[in-house]
Amino acid sequence: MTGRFRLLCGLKWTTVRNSFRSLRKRSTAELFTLIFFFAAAGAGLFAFFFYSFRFFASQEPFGPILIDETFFLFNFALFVMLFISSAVSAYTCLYRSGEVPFLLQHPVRWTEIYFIKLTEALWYSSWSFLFVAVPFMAAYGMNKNIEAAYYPLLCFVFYVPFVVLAGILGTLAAVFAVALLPGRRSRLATLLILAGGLALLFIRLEPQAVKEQGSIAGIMSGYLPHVAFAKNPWLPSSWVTRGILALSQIDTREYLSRQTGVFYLLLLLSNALFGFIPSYSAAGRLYPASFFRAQDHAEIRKPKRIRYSKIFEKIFDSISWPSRPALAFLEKDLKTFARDPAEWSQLIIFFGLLLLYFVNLKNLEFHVLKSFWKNLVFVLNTVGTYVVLSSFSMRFVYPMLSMEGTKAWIIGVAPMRPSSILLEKFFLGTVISLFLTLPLVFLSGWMLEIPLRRILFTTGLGGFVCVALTGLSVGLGAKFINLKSNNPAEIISGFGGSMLLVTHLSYLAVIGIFLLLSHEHQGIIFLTMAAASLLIGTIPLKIGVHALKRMEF
Amino acid sequence: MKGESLYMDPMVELRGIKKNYGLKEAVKGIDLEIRPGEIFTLVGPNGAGKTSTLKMMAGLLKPTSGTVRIGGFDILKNPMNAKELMSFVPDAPYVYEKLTPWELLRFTGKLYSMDIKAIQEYGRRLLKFFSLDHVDNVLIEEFSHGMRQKVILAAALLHNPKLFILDEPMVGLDPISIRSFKDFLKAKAREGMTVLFSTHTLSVAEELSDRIGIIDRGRLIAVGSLSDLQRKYQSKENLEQMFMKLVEKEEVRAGA
Repeated sequence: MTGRFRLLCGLKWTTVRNSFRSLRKRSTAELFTLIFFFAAAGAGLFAFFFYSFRFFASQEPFGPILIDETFFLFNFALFVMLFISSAVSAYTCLYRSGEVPFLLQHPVRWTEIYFIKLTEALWYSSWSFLFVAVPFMAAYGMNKNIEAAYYPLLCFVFYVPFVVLAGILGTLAAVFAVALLPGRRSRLATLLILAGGLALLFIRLEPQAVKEQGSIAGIMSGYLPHVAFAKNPWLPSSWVTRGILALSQIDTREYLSRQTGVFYLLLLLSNALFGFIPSYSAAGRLYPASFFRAQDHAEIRKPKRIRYSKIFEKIFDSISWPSRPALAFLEKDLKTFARDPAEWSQLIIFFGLLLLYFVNLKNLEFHVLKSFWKNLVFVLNTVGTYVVLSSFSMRFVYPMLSMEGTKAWIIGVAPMRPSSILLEKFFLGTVISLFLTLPLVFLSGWMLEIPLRRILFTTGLGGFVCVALTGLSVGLGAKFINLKSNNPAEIISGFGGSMLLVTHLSYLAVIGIFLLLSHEHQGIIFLTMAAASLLIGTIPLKIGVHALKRMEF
Repeated sequence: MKGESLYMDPMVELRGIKKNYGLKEAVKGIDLEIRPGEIFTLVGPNGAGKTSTLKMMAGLLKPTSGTVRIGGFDILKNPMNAKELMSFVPDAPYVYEKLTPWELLRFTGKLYSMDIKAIQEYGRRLLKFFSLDHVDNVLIEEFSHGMRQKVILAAALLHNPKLFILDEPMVGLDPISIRSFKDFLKAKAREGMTVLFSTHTLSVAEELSDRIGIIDRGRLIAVGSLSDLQRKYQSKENLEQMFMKLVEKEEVRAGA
């Protein structure tokens, strides 16, 4: 480790320490809410995994098999998640960060920049890893009655090299991608083609040899042959799973000695260490070459001219209700959203996956389940769709007002009421939410062959859910506005964002419970939930308008 | 009529405005009148309170005490009337990167409820003036800092404001654009537009301003034309030398 690299590590450590110290400046109530939120979310995840394992353990003969297979599948999913998140973080840190040009002005080597950014990418991805892996592993360990003192250490020694290996591979993938495809548009097109290919693979998925169709465990066991890839001996996720299984002596189906567990640990460690050799080589040659190529590409390409908005503008010119300023905002928001692939590609991925799943419900044979299970799947699908909608609402709708804050020189000085901006955001957010959610909820019910009356009941209620979620996002977005940032991720990570997450999830939990109970007294439940949702949507809006009126830019 | 403006009122009228950020007093009571058609420049060291004062005039900050009247309208009591009269360009203006210059002009014109024909006519003229007509359909994200600055100035001028407030307006502009923008401001002032800007480039203040205000530690320590200031402080020096002496004197006064 060179002196400069140590200096860079020290700098990063100081920024992390200062970030934690700045937490002290927040009010006690704010800190308490944040801690409570993280603890509650962690406990909620743990409870979900724990009770799911307990449920499957009781579903003989397929349930217990599913639990062990889930361990392989979970680690595989973790590996993919870590790989992707490291690749994305590394791309942002290595090519888009303003810090790289700053460091390049100083006598810092490319390899030093590469490894400090790799460390950053690992730091970012390991947080999300901790948040998901700890509740899962704790629930798994408790379900299998593994010794409490030994088990956390075992997980730690296996998961550290696992995270490092995934980070190294993700970072290398990002560098290779930029080297091969220096243009952002070509990278996006390649990603979309890859996603399309994966979607086609999923559509072809059908259960094989489903022996018992009366239970979820029975149906799910039909998919085991399709997830056998997670046990592929070449996969690091498979080494972690086999190693932990062997060393905790819990595998009952095949003999795995203690030596086998140590073998998998050493395999993982040696691969993680070996990963630094190609990384060093890429850091010295490929990274600088790809960095300059990407920069040149941005300069060489012709500026994109907008030629297709004339008709769109004419439509807006012909409307004058409710007001010209509000319509100007609507027009501007639609244009800026449509021109930012980074924004709508996330929507396509989120809702596209749901669409694929719902279209494929018949292939998955969920419609042959008994009425109780079918309704349960419908409710889970519906609440799942709302959870995805909630994430859309938090990522796109909540930061909308804050993002306008940096343009206060336009909107703060314009002769218009603050409520106009707020109501425009609410209108836009609600219409897009309705358009995205209701067809999906209807499709899910239709593919599961749920009675039409119940599908219409659930879809109709969905309209009110959209109003409530958007109202909460817009209202709290105004109340906890962040005028200093232009970065949605930074805006949503504040106190207001945490409050929004808690309120969204609590509201959706109540909606889920009412949907499960709604086989009786549908009329009363519908009216109660519709009225409550309208209130939940409009009260934050009122608070938001009040906050905007008193705001200073 | 409620909020009706008197024609002969000063365009900007500040009465004892103060601004506190917690315990820190950023602006400590400023009284000032600026006449219609006047070019007024605010100069002062970093952190002197220039931006806070300009933002209070633009209605982006609420004074802790005192009143701001624009064209006779109280900015807090009649914000809509006051805002219709003015435009404000901050020192680091953010802009909608995914809009083209033409679309940004359309957007701002509509915020001021301008007729689409007027937006077309005046917007095209401004784009031509700022040499942006050949890139009017290119996204702003593609532009250099200077080009962005030109787009921002064009958008701010679209509704033909009576009061134009600018915080460090020349930063990032090339010498040719600076020259034509200075001429443009002078011409607009002759037509009756009041121009109020802050700058660290004292030669620009000397060249353009009818009156100069020197602000330090939240106080307006000197106001007048360059010749007024030279007479008052019995100095034959240029603005830069006078500015340095006044600020040093204020430093001694504050330390005492």
